[in-house]
Amino acid sequence: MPFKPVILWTDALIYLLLAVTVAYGVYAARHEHLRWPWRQVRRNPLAMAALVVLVAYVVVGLADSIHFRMRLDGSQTGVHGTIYSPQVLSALDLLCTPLRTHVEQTYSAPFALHAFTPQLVRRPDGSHVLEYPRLRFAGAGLETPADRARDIAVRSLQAAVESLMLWAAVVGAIAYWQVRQPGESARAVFARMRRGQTDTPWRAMLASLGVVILIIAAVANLGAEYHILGTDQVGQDVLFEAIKSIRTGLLIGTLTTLVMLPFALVMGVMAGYFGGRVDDVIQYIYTTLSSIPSVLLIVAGILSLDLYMANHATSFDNIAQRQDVRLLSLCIILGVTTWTGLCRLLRGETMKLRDMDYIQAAIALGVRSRRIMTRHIIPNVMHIVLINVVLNFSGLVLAEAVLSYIGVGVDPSMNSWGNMINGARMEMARDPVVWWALAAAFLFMFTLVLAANLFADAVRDAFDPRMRK
Amino acid sequence: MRTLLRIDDLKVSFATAGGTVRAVDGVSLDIAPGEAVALLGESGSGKSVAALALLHLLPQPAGRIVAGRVLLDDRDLLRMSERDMRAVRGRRIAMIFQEPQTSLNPVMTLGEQIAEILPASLSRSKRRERVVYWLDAVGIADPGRRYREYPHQLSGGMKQRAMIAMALAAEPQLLIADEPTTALDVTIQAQVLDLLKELQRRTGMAMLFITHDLAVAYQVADRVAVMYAGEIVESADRQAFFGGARHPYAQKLFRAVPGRGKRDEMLEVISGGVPSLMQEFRGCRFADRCDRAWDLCRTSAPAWQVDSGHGVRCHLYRTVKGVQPAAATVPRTAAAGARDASDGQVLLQVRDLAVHFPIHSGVMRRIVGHVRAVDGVSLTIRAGRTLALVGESGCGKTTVGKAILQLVVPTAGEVLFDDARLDRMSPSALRPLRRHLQVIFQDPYASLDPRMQVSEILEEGMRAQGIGAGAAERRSRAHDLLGQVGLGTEALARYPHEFSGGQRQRLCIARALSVEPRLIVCDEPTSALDVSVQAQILNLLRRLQRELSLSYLFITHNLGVVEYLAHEVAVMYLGRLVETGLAHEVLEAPKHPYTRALLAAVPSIEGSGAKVAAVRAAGVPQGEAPSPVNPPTGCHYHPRCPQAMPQCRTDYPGTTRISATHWVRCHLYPAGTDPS
Repeated sequence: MPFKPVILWTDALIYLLLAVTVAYGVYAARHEHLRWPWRQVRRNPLAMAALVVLVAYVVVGLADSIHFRMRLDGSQTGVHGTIYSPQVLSALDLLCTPLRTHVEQTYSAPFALHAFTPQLVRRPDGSHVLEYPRLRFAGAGLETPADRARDIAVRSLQAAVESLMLWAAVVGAIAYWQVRQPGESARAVFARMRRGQTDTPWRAMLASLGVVILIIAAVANLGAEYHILGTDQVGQDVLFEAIKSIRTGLLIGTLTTLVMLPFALVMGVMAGYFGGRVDDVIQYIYTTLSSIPSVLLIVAGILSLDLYMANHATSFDNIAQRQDVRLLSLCIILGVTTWTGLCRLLRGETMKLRDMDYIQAAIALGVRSRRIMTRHIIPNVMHIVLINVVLNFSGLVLAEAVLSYIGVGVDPSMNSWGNMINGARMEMARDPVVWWALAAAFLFMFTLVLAANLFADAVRDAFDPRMRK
Repeated sequence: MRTLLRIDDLKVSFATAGGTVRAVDGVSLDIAPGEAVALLGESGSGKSVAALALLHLLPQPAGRIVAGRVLLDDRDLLRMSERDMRAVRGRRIAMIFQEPQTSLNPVMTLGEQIAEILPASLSRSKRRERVVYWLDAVGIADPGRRYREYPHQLSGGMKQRAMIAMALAAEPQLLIADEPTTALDVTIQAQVLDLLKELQRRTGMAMLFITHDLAVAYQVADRVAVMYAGEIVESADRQAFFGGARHPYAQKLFRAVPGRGKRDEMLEVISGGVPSLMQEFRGCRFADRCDRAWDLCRTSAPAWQVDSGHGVRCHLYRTVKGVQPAAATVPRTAAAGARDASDGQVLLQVRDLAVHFPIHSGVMRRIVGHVRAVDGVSLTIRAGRTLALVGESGCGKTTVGKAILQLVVPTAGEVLFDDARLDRMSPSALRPLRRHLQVIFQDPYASLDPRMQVSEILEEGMRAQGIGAGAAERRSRAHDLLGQVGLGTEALARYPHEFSGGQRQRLCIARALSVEPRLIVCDEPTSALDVSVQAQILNLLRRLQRELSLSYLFITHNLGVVEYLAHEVAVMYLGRLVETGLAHEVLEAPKHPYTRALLAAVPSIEGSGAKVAAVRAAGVPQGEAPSPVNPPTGCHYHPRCPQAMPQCRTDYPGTTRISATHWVRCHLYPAGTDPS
């Protein structure tokens, strides 16, 4: 085999999460009370446009979660078996090979052909002169640097044409797919879509899809030849770093919730349903937990993990595993510090539900407590869980940035927006200022959080009974 | 006759996801100065929407006035700007709503809120004077102090009085009252109705009284207009209407009201439901539910015909004017049998039941007192019989029901079911016995899990009790249950929200029946339902009792239902029973002053026999029930009792036996034999 698959802990959890999401989707499609609010979400143009952006992020994140080790060139299948490279790559790495491998000496500005910092170069005549050396990869195909503007224009045009064609194909396919009545032509469907008269807001979705496709085409056309967002201190392409950070951000935003959900759900529902002693104990636990400053808890957790990993260096045989364990434990620690809010909400809601007539009727029928909790209460508090999960997501993405900035976030060697911002601390102090790393991290994070918030708002509106008119 | 307000062909529609709902479809109505018009209709008939439209208060943006005019002194309210409307609202037309709890701002004092609607030109002290005057006029004691109090310090009845004071303070020419007494107790309802009548006489204002209750309309109205599916189908003077309603719908409504006179017959049931208002109607809107409809009714809409002030929209009156058509033959199934047998086997016995809820206070949650919700109640329910437990809200009757079901833990006393002490059992020992005791709640919207299919709801109890061998058998039992309560089997795969209130109540009954109970606690099962639906449910409960020889503990404040259904009656006041006996004993010869007052308070359209007059003489109870935290010393009822004696203030009366089955606790009847 040319490669050997590697499944990291977080990969496994991501697949699990994906499976849970798909299962929920199938379940929701079969249950009217769940399908109805999702239909409300589907009718909201802004939310659906945001969803397209979110899906683009998720696809990148998933592509980055397929890990493997390549077989080393020239190695033969011998007595020791095939020898694989110690470097763990992902599907995304392969897709972005030029971005990944075009590593310069050090800083360079976006679209620059020369390094950002002058270097002492020895002339053939023996004299030394301070100049900005040509970059190794950027604009390598150009004959003279003066051709740069024309080349960029040509490539941009190419990207625009390509993306337009792709987009038109997608629009056509959807219009064809959306033909409902036998008599209607795809053209008529397209006209309805353009006027925004379709039930699903295709116009908004396709507009946002068009932007996504355009960006991808631009990266594909320009990225191989230029550093669109410049390079960082060690010459890495900043755009590539920002793209690689997507997985980190998504993982923190989703796995944390996955970790804390069982605690919050079980404890909250039990406290609300049983009341009395059980309630006292659970309340005591979460009041205590939430009165410890969460940063303190996180710092303590991460530092002791660092110590553990330093003492057991042999257990973590490659850098990817080390990064992964650190990321996972950050998720767990963040989960431990954030479950109390949801738990409190669920406790309150359960107390309210407990006095509902249908719960009383179930008790009078002799239904057991565990069954009442699983069949009556949990389905009736799920909307709170869902709203909480989507609202929490963006907060957690931002929390990662803050924690990495203060040095207790993900592994410093891992690509994350927080680490990029942390690195930018020094860059911002330079003169002239190196702004692109910070800008890239900001742009990627902002887009994700904005899309997530817009979507979360629509979900809350659809699921929160108080928001219904 | 001069008209104050003329509503002319008013049409209101609502834009919903499913289409346009024509909630009000061509309503015309005149109101003369000083006249009280009752707009009578079941829920969904559009009566409230019509009233809201008059004042531009429709929910926006869904509600839209499509057509019509509303003339107040020749000015069309519907064409008025919002600015001009402000001068009309409150000043010329005032409105009071159903729910006094939510109609008052909780962070403003009562005085401030009422003073707000007085003209700003008045000085502060003048305004205060006026507010105090009106608080006094609506019968709020000590108005000077109440002026400074906040809404939470007032009881429900007091809040509704305050709302009336607020509405009247600007001396409007027309008061629109939207079900103002529906959320109140019978005794308070009687007080508020008397007050409204009295104030109307004094101030000469006109009143548009929206209600679903025939008896309430009878009490307050000079003229009655009946609404059905967005139209007015009949309009007449009170005497003419209650003397002989003409529209088949109105006639059916009369026959659907439960009462003593109908004890031995099934109640009239209006089949089907209110038609969807999204459709275009071709014929008469009532045709599908009318047993006297003929072809014409389905093809052409009847015109409005007036005969000496009595208008009706029905083809029956098309040809021969003023001739009363022969009364319809009503299928009256006799519900006799098992009615007089008082010797059924004792099924449930409750002895000295007490439920006290602790009141916690302070940081340490110390117990500072107890709410004595139930304080020594003893009763007996026999197999196949119905015991009605009546009383005002807050008297503890619901808690008695829950304590019997062991849904709340009794503080003291015994609950014996078939000689098993339910109150002493562990939860696991109790579980198998629970199948014998079931419950039906008041609110059909809160008593079914919205996330469960009907089949799951019905099978849950069977599974818990191990009834039915397998899934297939349980499913077939669920089929049968739906048939038993009159629902189609296609209901199994549906969710509760797809059903109307009456259908949901049927589902609740089916769920209770699923475990083959012997006693069902019915906690006001019909009070959230319309009259015609209530009749269906009462008929159903009665039929089931006959077929399955069920026993009911029927908790209610609706004495009409009690008269119709109960074998025995227990009257409860502030956690204790004050009078118990066979239904006819208690209802026809009430002994306790509270029972008499309760009977007097019930608005009634039934015969005004001498007995009723005598009961009326006892008068409507004054004031409101005191708190069960600090019950009055001696007899709990003495502060409200017109016949209170010095003895009543000090000693709680003992039990006096009137007959073998009838006893009362009142000092008016000096101690006889003890029943126990």
